[in-house]
Amino acid sequence: MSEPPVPASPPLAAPASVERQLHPLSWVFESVRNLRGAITAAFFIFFVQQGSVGPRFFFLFLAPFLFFTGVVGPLLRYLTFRYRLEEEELVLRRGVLSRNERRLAYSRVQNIDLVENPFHRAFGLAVVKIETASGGKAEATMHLSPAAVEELRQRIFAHRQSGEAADPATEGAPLPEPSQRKTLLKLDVGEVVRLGLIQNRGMVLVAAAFGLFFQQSFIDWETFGRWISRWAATADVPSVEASPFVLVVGGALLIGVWLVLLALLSIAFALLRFAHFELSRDGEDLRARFGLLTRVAMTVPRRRVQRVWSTQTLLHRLFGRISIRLDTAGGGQDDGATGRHWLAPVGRPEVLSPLILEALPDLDAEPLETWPGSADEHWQPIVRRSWKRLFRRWTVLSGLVLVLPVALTSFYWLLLLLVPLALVYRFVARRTIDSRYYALTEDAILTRSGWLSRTLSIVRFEKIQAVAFRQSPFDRRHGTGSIHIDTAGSSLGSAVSLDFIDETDGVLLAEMLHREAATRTFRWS
Amino acid sequence: MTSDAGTPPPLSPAPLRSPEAPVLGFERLDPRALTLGLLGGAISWLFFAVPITFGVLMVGLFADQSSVGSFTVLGLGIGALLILAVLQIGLQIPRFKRYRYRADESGLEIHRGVLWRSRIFIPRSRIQHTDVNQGPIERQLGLAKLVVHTAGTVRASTTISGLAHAVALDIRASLSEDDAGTDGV
Repeated sequence: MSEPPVPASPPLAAPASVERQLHPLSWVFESVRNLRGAITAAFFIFFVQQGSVGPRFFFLFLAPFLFFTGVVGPLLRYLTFRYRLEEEELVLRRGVLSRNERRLAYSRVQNIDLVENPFHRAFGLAVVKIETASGGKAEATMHLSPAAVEELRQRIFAHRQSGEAADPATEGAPLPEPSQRKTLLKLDVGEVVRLGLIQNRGMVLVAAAFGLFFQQSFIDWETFGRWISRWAATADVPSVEASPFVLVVGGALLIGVWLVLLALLSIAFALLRFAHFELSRDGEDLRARFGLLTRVAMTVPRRRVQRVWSTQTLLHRLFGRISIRLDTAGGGQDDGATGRHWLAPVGRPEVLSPLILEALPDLDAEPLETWPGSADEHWQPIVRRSWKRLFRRWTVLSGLVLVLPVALTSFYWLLLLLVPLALVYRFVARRTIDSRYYALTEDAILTRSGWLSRTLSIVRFEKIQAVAFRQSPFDRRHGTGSIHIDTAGSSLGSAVSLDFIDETDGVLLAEMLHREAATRTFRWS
Repeated sequence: MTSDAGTPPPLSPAPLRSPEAPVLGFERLDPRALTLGLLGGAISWLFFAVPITFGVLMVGLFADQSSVGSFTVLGLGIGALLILAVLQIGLQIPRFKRYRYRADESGLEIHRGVLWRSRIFIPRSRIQHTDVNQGPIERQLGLAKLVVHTAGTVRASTTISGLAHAVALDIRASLSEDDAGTDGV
């Protein structure tokens, strides 16, 4: 897009803003990042097409491709990239053939993330990600020196604090001092080890490794077998009769070793990612820093928090812990990489209320006191008899799944499987329905659900984007319906929903949420 | 809702509004919307009907008569066509009759659906921008679609299809007036 000659910002207020470049080494890091993908791709092509890919392919296709993605592209980007800190906005310019200028208003910045791996530290730079509410990828990802990062942060925060004074919602409150930093939560090594055991990420890594292992036949199983037998012969292993006792003990031992290995892997993973976790509040900003080698620092202004949610899985319960997360409107797609959005990756249930009150100040925390225990009178149940519908739904579905194999094989006794299944379903359906509640405070709606693995969600009325009340044909017959609340931060499928609610209550609740959401912003304007 | 903190607000049972009953302030779609719905349904029905008819003909002409009962195939084909016709074309009539919307000072409210019914509420202050679109058939009929975008994720946009073009523009204008203030996020 071509830019009109008149500057968009008021010409008088704008200082002589200097155009800045990225860190000189940024292109090297970008090159490595690009090549990492290309090399993995090349690796796969090599193994899938074993043998048929010769050096000719490499020189004809791969080498030029690697050269362009690895050297030319990043260099050009570095050479043409400029940024400028204006009074009200950050201006990014880039491009060779098609030039692009992006203006990011400081007031629209949702959160800032900082990522530093050991290589970044060695060369004195860091990656900054700036996100606005537009979703998807970060609006700006830049490699900068620590001094430049600090300058950028100060610009954005300084603006935010002066901007907040004019905001009627916070008027009257004294301006927060930038140095007023309050540590809210620190995880010691023991907690991170527990976190590793709870998250159990080792399983994911092992599954990935297995997939690679079995898909590609770069292990010759026949040779492997011959090695084993040869080793057994030379090592003079006493040939044990495969008695049931030996089989059972051996199997148990193998499973035990396997579980220990998994646990160790999970702990190592958690230590790498969450070591030195520290959550603090600096004025209106929540900050979290964590990571052993790659350090991540995230900053979320707390009025940008869209939803706070807490989970307690079976493993959490085993260790007497919960975890608390928050949704922001920024990004969403790449949080897996930086693992941000944690209020507390792991913590005792007692930390819940204080931490949530830090993220959602002035929330009426009374309903929180019973979480994760059993609900009290602050919580409204859904239609309890709906467990029968859940039970029927599961049983009918299982029956349908079984009908085809039974019809094909004529093993009619397979249908007997439905009896124990139905008993389990009856038990689980009842507890599932009994665990669902919602609570309303003066300015927020809370929901909780789950029997073995529990979830609590909190959404402020002012963060509700849309409300829907839906009824399926079954809902209409039973006089129930479901409420769906959409926020700017919900990743797909995580928006707050409440099903099996009584239809009269549901319609009234949806209308009430709509009214409250509509008036909230009016008060702010 | 009441302001005493802690206690859950009373949800006094009130009679459910029946979507059939004329409710004050609720509007219906333009009558031409039914034509649009029937046409759209017929077109999407053809997308299924043509391959199904073709498949049935192929089986009837070329399949080994002894292995596949061609009457069974014919029956299944016709049954599928009829069911699809009811779902895609027939349902357009009750869908049109049930559709209600209201744009007032608090925002947009839509009641729609035949088998699966929903009431959608979009607070006015959350509307980021609105589109008015016209497809070729809609242009012929003088109709338009109103698309309302919010900063939400699962329901980031909501469409009302089958409004008279002028009405769509009116609603758009009424929804976007005086939204000075915050960014709705």
